[in-house]
Amino acid sequence: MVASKHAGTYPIMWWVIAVCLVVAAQPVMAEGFSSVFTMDESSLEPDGFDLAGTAGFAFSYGFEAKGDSRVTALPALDLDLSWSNGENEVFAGLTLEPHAMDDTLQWDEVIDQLYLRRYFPWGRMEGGLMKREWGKGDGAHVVDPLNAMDQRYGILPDLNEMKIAEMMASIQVQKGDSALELVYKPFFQPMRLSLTGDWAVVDASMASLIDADSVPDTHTLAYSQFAAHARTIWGPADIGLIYYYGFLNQPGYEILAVDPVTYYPTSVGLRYTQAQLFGGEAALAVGPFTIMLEGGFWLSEDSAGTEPSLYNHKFVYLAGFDFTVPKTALFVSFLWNGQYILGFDGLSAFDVDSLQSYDGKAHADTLILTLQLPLVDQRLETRLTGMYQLESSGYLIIGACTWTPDDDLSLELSVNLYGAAQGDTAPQSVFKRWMDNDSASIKLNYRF
Amino acid sequence: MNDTKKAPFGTLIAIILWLAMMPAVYAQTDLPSPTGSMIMEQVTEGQKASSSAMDIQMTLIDTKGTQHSRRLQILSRTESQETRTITVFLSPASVKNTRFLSVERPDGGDDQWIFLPALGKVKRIAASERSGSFMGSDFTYADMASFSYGKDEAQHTLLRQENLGNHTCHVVESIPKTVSDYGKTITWVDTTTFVAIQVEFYDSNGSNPVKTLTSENIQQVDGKWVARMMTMTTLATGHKTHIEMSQVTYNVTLDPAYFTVAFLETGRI
Repeated sequence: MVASKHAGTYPIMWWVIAVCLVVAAQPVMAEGFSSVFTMDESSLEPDGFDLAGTAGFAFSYGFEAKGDSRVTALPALDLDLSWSNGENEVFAGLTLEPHAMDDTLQWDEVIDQLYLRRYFPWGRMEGGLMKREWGKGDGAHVVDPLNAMDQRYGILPDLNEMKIAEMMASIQVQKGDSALELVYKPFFQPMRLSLTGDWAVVDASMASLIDADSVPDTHTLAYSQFAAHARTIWGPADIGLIYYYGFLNQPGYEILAVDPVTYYPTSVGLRYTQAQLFGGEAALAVGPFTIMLEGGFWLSEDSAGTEPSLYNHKFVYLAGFDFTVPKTALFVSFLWNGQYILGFDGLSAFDVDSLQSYDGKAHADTLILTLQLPLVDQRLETRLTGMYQLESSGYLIIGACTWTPDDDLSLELSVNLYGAAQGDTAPQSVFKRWMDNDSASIKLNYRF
Repeated sequence: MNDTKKAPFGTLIAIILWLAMMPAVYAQTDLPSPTGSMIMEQVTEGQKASSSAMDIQMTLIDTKGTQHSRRLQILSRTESQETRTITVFLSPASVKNTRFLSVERPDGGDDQWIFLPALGKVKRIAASERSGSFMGSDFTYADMASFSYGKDEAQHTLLRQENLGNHTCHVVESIPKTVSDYGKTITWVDTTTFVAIQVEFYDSNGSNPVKTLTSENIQQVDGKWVARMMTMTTLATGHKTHIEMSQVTYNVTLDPAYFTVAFLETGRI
């Protein structure tokens, strides 16, 4: 797995907890429009503490897995603890949800988010372990740089669930329906990937070359990042501008040693590319459609595009729409997202840009279609998502059916199917690597 | 004795004369006989307020009688002919803190956003979703905005007058002038309070009723007649949604900051 050296220690977390406890010793208030309505309703909670969550378990069956890994049975507990006194808010989201039977949970996997927020008449300030979602796409984005993805267990139906919460401080200035948010991240969290096992993203031979001592310590101020997000409503559109100064969270590598005879690398070190993102977003209601647009340019530190261990500049784009089919409750969402790497010809096997390209091409495009249909008075929700990667002909199909007999209990049946063009000459992709990871699962959850 | 005989006769004459003169009186004073359009205008006027606040218990009732309750609060504010409405769900846990903001502009260009706490993000939604179920209920998003068409939104025809329960009602057929979720509606309007006591919603052909709304517990609140209990029934399934207003107030001062995307996102002003 690719991880930074200091993933298990986080002194700032204790600072956050301490501040949370201090702030928590404040008066409390009720929720809802308490200043408008009288407070004699028993369902208005008289204090500012709130506990919500889900508890349950899941059985999964891997169609092509071998031996004991074919079936897993895992418990799951999600707790959302929040406290508010109107001006201050503290939130802790805890997730005790192992992905595999032999999984050892790290503290930063257990604490899904932990932050405190202070509201002012002009906006808000917040700090802690947080997740942000920037961009207007339905779940998928190309201008959403603040949280890296955890791809160690494949692709989850909710892409935001794959995000890794990161330490950040934010200040947001609000004026009417316009807002400007400035974010500072002291450290850098790279994408988490598996190098071995079912969810490996590279060949075992490549993984064995990585020099463990070369993994950069990204929890230093040298890896600080800054971002800004301005947004407003302009006529029938919500528009925004995004700027990020930091690093591409996909790791690259540099060759440390080569075989003197074959010149094939015998040792590689991980390296991250410093980059800036200039992006824009828009959501527009046009007739029955909500149109979603995102676009951006990643300006790499490798300005000439000649350094093979650094990623090149690239354009990223996303366009899509969603709508509810008239006279039905069928919700349809379609997204097309992609990237174009500048100065990449796919000829050099040791250019890191080949890690983010498919079939050696500079462009990479993915289509995502989601159909969602509630049935039986919305007690039965059916959902089908298809993801198709054009250059590699790789695909993922996720089918899910959730039965909610009452507001608190839900039973979900789901199937994940990975596939890609086959054969020795077929383009390499994670979809092809993960073809044997098809699975079905049953989840029972109780919400409280 | 003679006086007592004369009195009824005189009264009878007076009544006959009054009845005979009535059309002339209408003609002289330009008092129109009630039309469907006038009645629905009265209904719309009765609903108008510069602002309103409602605390609502919404109960979904399936055909087996199983009930699921939701609690929500709705604030509405009209300024310069632009109406902004914010809805916040308080319970149950599965929908708690879901917030919905709609802006109805005088030019007909409506904007809507929804905040789903599970996503933690505000999402703009298009008009097509106005015909979708409002949080699993028998009401659509459009129904929640208004149960009746305005004077100029539909062709209104007074069909008849009849009693419905304890109410004497005008029965008005309304056929929308533009494409709508419903081909037509028939509304039973109380002749005194001009509250819609019952509404039948018809399919797009206007031939078959698809839903029925009934109102109960009509009370005067801040000078306005209000139905504090309503039930919407989907006729094909028998599924019902019962709404009870535990608190309602009109023309109350509401902070404009409630009606912004910022409030939608944070739940705070």
